[in-house]
Amino acid sequence: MSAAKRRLVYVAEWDSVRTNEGEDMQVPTGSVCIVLVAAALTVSAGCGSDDNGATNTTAAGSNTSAAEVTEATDPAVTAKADSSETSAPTTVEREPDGGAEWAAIVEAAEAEGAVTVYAIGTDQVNGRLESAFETAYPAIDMEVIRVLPGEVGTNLDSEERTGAIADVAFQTNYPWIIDAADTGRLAEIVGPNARSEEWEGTPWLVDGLYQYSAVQPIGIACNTDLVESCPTTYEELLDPKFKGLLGMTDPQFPVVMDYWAFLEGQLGEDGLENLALNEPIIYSSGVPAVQALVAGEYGVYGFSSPNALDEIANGAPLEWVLPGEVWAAPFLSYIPSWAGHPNAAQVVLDFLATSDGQASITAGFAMSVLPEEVPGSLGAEYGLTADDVHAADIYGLTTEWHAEQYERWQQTFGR
Amino acid sequence: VRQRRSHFNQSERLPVSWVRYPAKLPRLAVPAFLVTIGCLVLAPLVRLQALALSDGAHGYRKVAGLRNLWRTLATTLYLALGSVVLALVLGTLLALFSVQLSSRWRWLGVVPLLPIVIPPVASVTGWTFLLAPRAGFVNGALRKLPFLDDQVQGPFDIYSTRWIVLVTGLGLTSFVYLFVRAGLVRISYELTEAALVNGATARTAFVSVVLPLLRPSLVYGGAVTFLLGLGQFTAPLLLGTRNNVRVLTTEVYRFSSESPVDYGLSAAIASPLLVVGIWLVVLQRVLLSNQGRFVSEAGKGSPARYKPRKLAPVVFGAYGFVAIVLPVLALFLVALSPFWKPDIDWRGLSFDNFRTVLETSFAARSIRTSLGASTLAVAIVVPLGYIAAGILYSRRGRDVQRTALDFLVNLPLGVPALVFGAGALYTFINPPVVLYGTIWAIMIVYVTLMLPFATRMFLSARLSQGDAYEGAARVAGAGFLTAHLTIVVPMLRSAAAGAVGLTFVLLSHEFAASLLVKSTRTHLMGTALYEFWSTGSYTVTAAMAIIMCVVTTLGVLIAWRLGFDRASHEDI
Repeated sequence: MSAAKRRLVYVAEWDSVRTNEGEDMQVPTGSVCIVLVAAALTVSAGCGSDDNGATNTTAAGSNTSAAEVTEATDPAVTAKADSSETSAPTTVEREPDGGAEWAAIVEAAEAEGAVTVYAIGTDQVNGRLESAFETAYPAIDMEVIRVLPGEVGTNLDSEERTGAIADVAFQTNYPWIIDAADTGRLAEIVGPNARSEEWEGTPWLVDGLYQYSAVQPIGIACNTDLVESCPTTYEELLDPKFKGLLGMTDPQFPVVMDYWAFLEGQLGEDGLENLALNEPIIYSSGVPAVQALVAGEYGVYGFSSPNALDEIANGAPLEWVLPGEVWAAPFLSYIPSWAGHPNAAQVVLDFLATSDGQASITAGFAMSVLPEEVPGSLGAEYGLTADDVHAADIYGLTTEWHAEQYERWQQTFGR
Repeated sequence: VRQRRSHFNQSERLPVSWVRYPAKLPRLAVPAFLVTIGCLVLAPLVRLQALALSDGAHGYRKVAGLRNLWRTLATTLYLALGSVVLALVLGTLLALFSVQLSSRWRWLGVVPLLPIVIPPVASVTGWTFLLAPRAGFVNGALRKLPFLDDQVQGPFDIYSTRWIVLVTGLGLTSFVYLFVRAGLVRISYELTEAALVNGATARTAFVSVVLPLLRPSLVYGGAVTFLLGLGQFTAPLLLGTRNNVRVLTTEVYRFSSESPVDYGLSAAIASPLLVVGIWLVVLQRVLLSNQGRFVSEAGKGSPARYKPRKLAPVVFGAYGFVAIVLPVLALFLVALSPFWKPDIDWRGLSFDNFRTVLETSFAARSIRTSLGASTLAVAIVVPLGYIAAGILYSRRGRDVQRTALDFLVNLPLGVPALVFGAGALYTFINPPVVLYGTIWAIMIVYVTLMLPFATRMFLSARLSQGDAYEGAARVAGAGFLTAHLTIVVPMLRSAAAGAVGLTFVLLSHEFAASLLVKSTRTHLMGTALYEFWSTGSYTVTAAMAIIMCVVTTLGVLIAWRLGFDRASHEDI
């Protein structure tokens, strides 16, 4: 099969998937745009005129989008576009290595030479990702910057206006992501691994625009110097013996608010009011909360990510348990359409979809969504899969819902 | 001679000679300078108001409906007033004791200024390690005392509003000390002596003679510290979350940084700070409008005449131990430890956390960015301050221009840095001047923030220096620029060194405005420290704080070497 034909099959296949699932029409527009533009032999100019084109927008004029690289390296693609567009879209299988187009993207990524990721992972996880990626792609220098979910949307919005810093985000800022996907501000993911059958058509790759790269379970952490036995259910947090010893996280971010909604369901009627009687200490985010727990500022942290495991490994007097019902936060990866290194960004998204990429971001930190067990992942360690946990409903976490729930939470906890 | 006489100013000032330069240049220069300063100072503030008033003033309407608005306003006022009272009492006491230090202990007079060198963000972190309810070192030590050994936490809670006020007040004490001491050394002891000879008690002499003469220093110091207290950001941000202590600045930051950003709301909630700042700048100008009356005492005092008191060095030692040694020591201990715990594992101490900081790309980069932005800003603001002081002192330009300039250069002192940062952020992310994420954005904000300090340093020095030397140069035939470059500037070298030192120190640990104008690529030292605080570990945070202190101290030492010591004592 020629490279041109393979590429067009990809496009048709993606459109087919979306059409079958009845997804919204803005995203297919991006793919349709690619085909139409390819047929018109004016790839970048044509797509550039369409605000909804997911793969066509770059903030910096000197940068080259992944689609542009593909077209530029194989002009024959455009010549055959018209006939291929009308052929049966799902009859040809995808090549596992991605073919010449992907090779061209990788080559262009290596020419870009750098990529920046806004990640939510801890320093250890981010360091592992950087190391694993640079081992796989030594010509691309990856910089992983830890950014909290509350700030990442603001940063990306500013960068959209002023110039790109982040090429990829690995985050939990769901309302922003969904809005960006709806308004054509995310680039389509094109890597062969990211679009392989393990991802394509599953809930873990949405519209080809964002990927559920990992799911992080939230547990309960205790300071063993202050608490004899760590609670194993959320109901135990209501025990008066934990009054003044309990720590929780402020649901200032929608993702944390979803946890509180889950917790309310676990505790039953008046559960949050009863929890308030234990006068929990409220922390702004998880990392300072775990640090204070290690210091002995309080004894039980009800919203503990597996970050606590790193502290335990370093000798901190902590215990981390997963309660019977587990709430989890999906970590979504995506490429802003104004990424300064769009090809390198594609390579990163593709790497995250591989078992090596999954291992780097899930070891001791999160669960993989892949059907096959990822060695070293937290899921493998605790015998958990993404289906076993109550994952945050990212579509329900609208700004309005969050504002309303946050107001109620503030009233309950007197804040 | 006739030509030169024709240029003589008819006022009490000495002649203004433009022999070497066309008269047109200076006449245009003053308005041009005014416009430049106006753009720097007003552009961000106008942008804020434009946002707050946009869309039918939706920002103000949303502010009115904010939950906890009145509590936030009350806490802001409480924090400002509480910290000012503490700073005024402590700063004035220290200033009084400073002139009663014997020559052997006179060096202790610099101790109350040292907290300025310690970055507030580092200082607050240090206080957290000391006074956290359960894990604080001081609390842990106090709980070992017989009457407290049954308690599991406390007796102090650094996260309470009361302690946030105390920590803020302690930080502001240095500013009051700076102003009051400068005023005190200019008051001749002979005046006090005269009162004593005429039968007044020491207290009466202090109340009826010294305090009235200190009025400008107290008013200025009080106004400055009140404004600084009103715009206080670091302590409420780092300590307030736990007990839900919110002030206006933390709310501005919250609404500026949370997605989706509501620029109008964020701008509107900053407005009370803006209004109070402007009002106080105007009030301060009115109260001290006749500066010459107070400054005429300058340089005539004789501090050595105050009788040394044995208590003075003890007071300074105690203050230095509490305000400097304790927090820095706590930072060192935590920075060297694997964990922050009330019981220190002396065997486990290492430099690992310092290595972590230096190996973290954004932290290492933040040191370079801070030094670069601060140096650039200092290089610009010091000449600007010199020119502004020159215009204000020499009464060049029209009255309205000078009044406007005086107001503009003082405004950054009245309006909290965070508000300027927010205004700059909203200005620089939109055309025509898109500078977000660049060092230039930071530098411009820094220049704006430092204008009052640089101007004040030069203005004080000019007032002390008088007109005689410049006038002599003019009479001898020197033109405007020649007189300045060969006579005035060299004579103001110590003031320039002081301005360089002070602005560099303040900028190298600037935090509030930096937090808003930085990007993920342009972290400053203060914002890098906050990054570690909010997303890293306390031990690495402590290591970053120590590194900040070292960098700032090196800056001070260099400034000191250049003559900052002379400037701080003589010119302020």
